[in-house]
Amino acid sequence: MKSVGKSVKRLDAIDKVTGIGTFTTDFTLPGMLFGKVLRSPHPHARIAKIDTSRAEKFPGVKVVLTHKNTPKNLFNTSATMTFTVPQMKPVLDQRIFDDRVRYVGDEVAAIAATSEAIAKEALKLIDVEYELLPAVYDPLLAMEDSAPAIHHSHAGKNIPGDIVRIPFNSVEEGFKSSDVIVESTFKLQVQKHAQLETQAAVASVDGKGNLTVWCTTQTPHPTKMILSAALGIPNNKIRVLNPPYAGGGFGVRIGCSAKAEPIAAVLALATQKPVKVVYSREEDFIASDTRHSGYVAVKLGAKKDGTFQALDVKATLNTGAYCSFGVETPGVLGAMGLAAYNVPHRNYYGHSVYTNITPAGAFRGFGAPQGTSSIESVVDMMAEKLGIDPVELRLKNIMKVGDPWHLPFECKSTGMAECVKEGAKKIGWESRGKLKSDDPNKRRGIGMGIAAWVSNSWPFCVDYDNAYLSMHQDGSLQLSVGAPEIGCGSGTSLAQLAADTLGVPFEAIDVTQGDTAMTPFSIGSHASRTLYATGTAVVAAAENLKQEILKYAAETFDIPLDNLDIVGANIVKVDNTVVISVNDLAVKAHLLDRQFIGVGQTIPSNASPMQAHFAEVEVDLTTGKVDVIKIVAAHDVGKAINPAIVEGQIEGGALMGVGYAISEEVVYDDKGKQQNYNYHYYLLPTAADRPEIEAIIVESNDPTGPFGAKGVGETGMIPTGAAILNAVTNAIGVRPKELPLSGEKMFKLLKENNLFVS
Amino acid sequence: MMKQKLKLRFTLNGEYVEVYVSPDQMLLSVIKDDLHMHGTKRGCEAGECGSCTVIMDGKAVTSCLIPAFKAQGAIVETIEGVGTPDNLHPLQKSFIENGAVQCGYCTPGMIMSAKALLDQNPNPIPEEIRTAIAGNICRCTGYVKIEKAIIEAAQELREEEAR
Amino acid sequence: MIREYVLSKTIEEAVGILTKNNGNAMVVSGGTDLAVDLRSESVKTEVLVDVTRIEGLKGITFDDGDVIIGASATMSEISTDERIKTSVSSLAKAAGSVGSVQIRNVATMAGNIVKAQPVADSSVMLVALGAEITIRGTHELKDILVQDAYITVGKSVVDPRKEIITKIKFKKPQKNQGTSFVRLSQRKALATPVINVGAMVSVKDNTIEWARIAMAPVDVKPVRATEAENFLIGKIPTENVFKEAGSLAVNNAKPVTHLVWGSKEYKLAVLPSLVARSLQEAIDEIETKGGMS
Repeated sequence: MKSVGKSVKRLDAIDKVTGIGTFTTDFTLPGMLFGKVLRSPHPHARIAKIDTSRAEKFPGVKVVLTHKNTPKNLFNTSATMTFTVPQMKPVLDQRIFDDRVRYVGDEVAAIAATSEAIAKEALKLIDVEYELLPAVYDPLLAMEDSAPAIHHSHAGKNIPGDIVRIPFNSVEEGFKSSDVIVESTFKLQVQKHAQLETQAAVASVDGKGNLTVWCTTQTPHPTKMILSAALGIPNNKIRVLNPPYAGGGFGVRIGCSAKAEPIAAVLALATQKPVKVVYSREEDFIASDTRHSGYVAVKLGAKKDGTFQALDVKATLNTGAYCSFGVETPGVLGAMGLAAYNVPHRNYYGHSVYTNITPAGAFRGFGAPQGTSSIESVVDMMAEKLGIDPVELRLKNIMKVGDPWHLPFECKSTGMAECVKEGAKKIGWESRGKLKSDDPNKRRGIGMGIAAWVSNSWPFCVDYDNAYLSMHQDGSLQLSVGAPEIGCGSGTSLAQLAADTLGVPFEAIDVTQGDTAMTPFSIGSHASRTLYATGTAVVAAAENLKQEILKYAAETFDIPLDNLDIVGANIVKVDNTVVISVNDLAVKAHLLDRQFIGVGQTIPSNASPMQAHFAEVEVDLTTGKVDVIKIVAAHDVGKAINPAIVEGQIEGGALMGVGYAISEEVVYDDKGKQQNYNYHYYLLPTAADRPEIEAIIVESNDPTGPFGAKGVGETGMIPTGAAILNAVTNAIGVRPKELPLSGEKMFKLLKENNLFVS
Repeated sequence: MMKQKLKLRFTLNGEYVEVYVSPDQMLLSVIKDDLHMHGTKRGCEAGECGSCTVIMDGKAVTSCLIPAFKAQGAIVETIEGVGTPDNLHPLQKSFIENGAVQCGYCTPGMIMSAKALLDQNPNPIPEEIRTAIAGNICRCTGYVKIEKAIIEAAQELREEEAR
Repeated sequence: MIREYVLSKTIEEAVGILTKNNGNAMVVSGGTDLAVDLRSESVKTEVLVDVTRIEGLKGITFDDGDVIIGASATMSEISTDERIKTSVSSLAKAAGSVGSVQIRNVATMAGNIVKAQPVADSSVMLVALGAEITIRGTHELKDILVQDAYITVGKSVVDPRKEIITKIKFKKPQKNQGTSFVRLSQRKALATPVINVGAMVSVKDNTIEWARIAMAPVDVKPVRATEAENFLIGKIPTENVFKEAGSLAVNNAKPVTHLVWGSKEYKLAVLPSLVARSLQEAIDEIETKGGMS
C-alpha cells in the first residue's frame, strides 16, 4: 500500500522506452522557422563593424539579429541572477548580443530562416570586422596587472563578484597546536556535461505579444525571470516549459547557458513566427557552461594521534568568459569542502577568475569534485605521514550529529560512519597494499574518499518551494510542481511522497512539472534539491489537502475530524469502517460546489547527505593507463524514497566521476579554441569502459527531510575522483596532483619518478 | 536552395514507405523531418552518440550517418516498431522494471542496439552486451541497470521462445 | 550541390558514371564519413556513386592460400568471420576496434584506405599483412600494396572521383607465421588510438625469417618499422630481442603532438613496449598453432 521505500515504476518510463515522449529537439510548430547562431572565431575581440545586408537578402532568410537590433539589457544566463541571496549582488555581465566577444564560440548574431540549411548558409554572408584584443586563458595569469580586463570587477583583477571567506575559529592557532602539518596544491581540469540532448529552444509569440518558450532548461521559473530581464517583458507574459522532457542536465541548464532560449525568443519576436533553435553538438560543447577548472590548495594540521586541528583551503577557479555561478561555485566548494570533518579550526578563501575560454558554470557537485579530490588527497597524505590507516583516520574525525559546524544549519543526521565501514568491507579494504597484478608491469591499489553535501541551494542561494495538489472531480489527483523532470525521476518520487502523505495509492496521482503557466514557483531541478526541497512542499500540500478533505467529510457526515482518516481508496473511521470512497466524496463535493485543493509552501532547511567512495585500480607502468576495476559508493541518503532511482543516481554519478578522474578533459589550444568539441574528442566513458559499480544505501532518516530523505542527485560524482586519486597513489607509491589521470599525465608522473617501464 | 528530390522506397516498421528525399539527405532526417517520427533522437549527427540508432536489414546503424538512399529497398526498424504502451517488447519492459531509464534521450537508440544484438544472439555474455552498446552514450545511468535490463530481457525472450 | 545518388549494380556502371562526370562524381562505400564531410563542406561533388550493392565487391573468400576481402565487406563482416578469426585473428581484432558496432556495420576497409587516415586500425594491420588492393578505373586493373596507397593524411593514391577499389588481398598466414594487432587508446570504444601496431612474423628453424611491423600514428601514413624488421632477421625470438626491436622502431617514427590523442613524447615513449608486445603476441600465435619446432 505505502509506496515510499519501494522501487515503483517511473511515471515517465513508458514514454521514454517507446519513443513517444517529446523532447525539445523533437518539437515542431506549424509555420516554424529555424534559427542559427554566428559564433566568434576569436577568443577576445571588439566587433568593429557588422554588416548583415547580404545575409538579409538571401532567399528564405526572415531576420538577422545582432547587438545593433536586440535589447541591450544586462543579465546572466545562470539562474543565480534570479535567486542570489539579498546580502549579495548578482553579477550581470551578459547581453543577448554584445559588441565584444570574449571566447571562441561567443554569440555574435542569429538568423531565422525557413530551413536550417538556409539559416546556416546565410550565416556565411554576415560580414564581421573584428578588432582583436589580447586574450588570457589561465586564472592565475588573468589576475596579473598586465592581463586584459575581460569585464569590470571590483574584488580584484578579473575577479567576478566578491571573494568568499569562511573563517571558523583560528587556523593559525590550529596549526600551532598541530604535531603534523601536510599541504599541497592540486590542478583540476575542465569537465563537460555532455548531456545527450543539446541546448535547444522553440519560441512562439501570440497575438497578445505573450511569449512561450519550450526548451531544455532545468529551471523553467528562473529562466522565465532571466528572459523577462533580458527582453524587458513582464514575468506573466512569458511561459517557459519543457516539452515535457529534457535530455539530461547535470547543471548546464540551470538558467539558459549558451542562450538558446533568449535567442529563439528574440527571433520569434522579430519575425512573429515560431522559431526553433537547436545547437549542434559542437556548439553545445564550445558555448554552454563547463565545470570550473583551477587550483585548490589544502593545508591540514593534526595531533600525533590523528585528531585534526586545522583545515585551510584556498581555491582559484577559472570561470571563463562570463560569470555563470562564478561566485557561488567557489563558495560551495569551500563551505562543503570544510563540512565532512569536525576540525576545530577551519578557513576558506576562494573566488573565480574571468578568462577567455568557454564560461564555466554549474555542474553536478558544484565545486565539490574539485574540492574533495584535493582535500581527500591531503587527508590520505596525513594518514601516511602519521602511519594511521586512512579508514581509521577518517572515522576518528568525521562530522557527527551536533558537532560544531560553520554552516547555518545543524548536522541533524549522518550515516557517514556506516558508509565508511560498509564501503571498506565491500571493497576488501583489508587487502589494500597486498594486491598483485598478473602482469609484472601493472600495479594495483585501493583508495577512498568521503564528502558531505547539500540537499538544496540554501544558504548559497534563495531556496523555497511550492506545490499544488488538487483533486479532480472524480477523485483522481493532480500534483503540480515547478521543478521539471530532467531524468532524475523526481516526478515519480514526489508522487510517492504525495500518495503516502495523503494515504492514497501511488497510481491515483498524476504529475505536472516545470511549466511556468501551470505550476507554482520553484527554483528548479538542481542542487540535489528536488526531492528534499520540492518534496517538503509536496508533503505540505498533501497534508493541507488531506485536512481539506477530512474537514469536509467531518462536516458532511457529522463525524469528529479526529475520528477520520484516508486509507487507500476510502475515507475511514478510526475503527476502519468505511465512511465513503474518496472518489464518491469528490463527486459529491463537486455537485455541492466544492473542489479540494492542497497548497504547500515551504522554506526548507538543509541536510547533508554523506558519502564514502572506494576505488580499486590498476596502473600499467608501460603506458600510464589507469584502469578502474571497481567503485563502491556508500551513500547516506536519509531515506531512499525509491531505491532503484536512488541507485541510478549513485551509479550514474559514480561513472561520471570515473570519467572526471581518468579521461575527461576539455583542452584549449594557444588561440583559445576548444579541442574536445564532440563525443569523439571528449573522452567520457562508454559502456565498455565502466568498472563494476556497487551502490550501498545507508538511511539516517534526517528529521528535516520529507520522510527522512536527503538529496542524492549529485553525490555519486563527488568523492569518486578522490577515491581514484588515492587508489592510484596506493598502487604506484607516488601521488598525482593533477586531474585527469590520463595515460599521458600518468606517463609524465611515472617517468619523473623513474617508474615508467619502456 | 531548392534541392532536387528523388523517390526513396523502403519498409519502415513493417509498412511500405515512399518518400521524396534529397540525394544528400541522411536517413535520420528522413525519419524525423519528413516522416515526423520522433522516437529516434538526434544527438551528435556524427555517429558518436548512438541516439539515432535504428535497425537496417537486421543491423544496428546510426541513422545520422546513413545516406538515405542506402535504405532503398531496405527493411528499417525504429523504436516505434518495437512496441507500444499496450504491447511492450520484453526489452522495453525490462528497461522499465530495472530502472534503466533516466533522462530517456539515449533510451530509444539503446533499445535498438540491444534489440539488434538479441535478434542475432539470444544469449549474450556481459562483454558482448557492452560491446553492442558501446556506441550508445548514456550520461545518466552509468550503464549498470541498462546492462542488467538487457540480460533479463534476453532471458525473458528465451523463455518466450521456449514456450 | 549533390544532385544524384546512384546505387550502382556493376563495377562497369560505377566506373562509367565516374568517367562520364569527369571529376564531379565520387564513390561512396560505407559512407560513415560522408555526413560529417558534407556538413563541413569538405566534400564537393554532384553525384554520389554507392558501390555497396555491386555483387562482385561483396564478401570474403579464401582462395588457394589467398584471403580476398571484397571492397564492400564491412568491418563487422570481417571481424566476425569465423575463417578470419581463426587464421588472421589480428585482422578481426583490428576491424573490431573501429568505432562502434553501428559504425562497423557499415564501414569498409576499402573506404578506410581511400580516406587515408594513417591511424585507421584495419589499414595498419593490412600493411603488416603485406596486403594489396586492386584498383579499377578507366585504366586496366592495377594492384598496389596498401602501404603504397597513401600520399599523405587524408589523401590516397586511389582517387574516388576516378576509380574504385575492388578487393583487398593478402596471403593467408602459414603455420610458421603469426600476426598480431595491439592498440593503446584512452577508452575502449569510439576512440582514436594513441598508438596502434600491426605485426606479422615468419619463423624458420626457430629463428625469425622475416617480420613486418606497421605502426601509426607516427607519420602521415602507416609506417613500417624497417630498422626493427631488419634487426629481427635471423634472431631467436626472446623477450630481449623484442625489446630491442621495440627500441629500434622509434627510429622510423616521426609522431607529432595532438592535444587530444597524445604528445609526441608520449607516443615515442609507449611505442617500444607496444611493438615488443605485438611481436610477442605474433610469436605466441605461432606457438599456439604448433609452428615452432
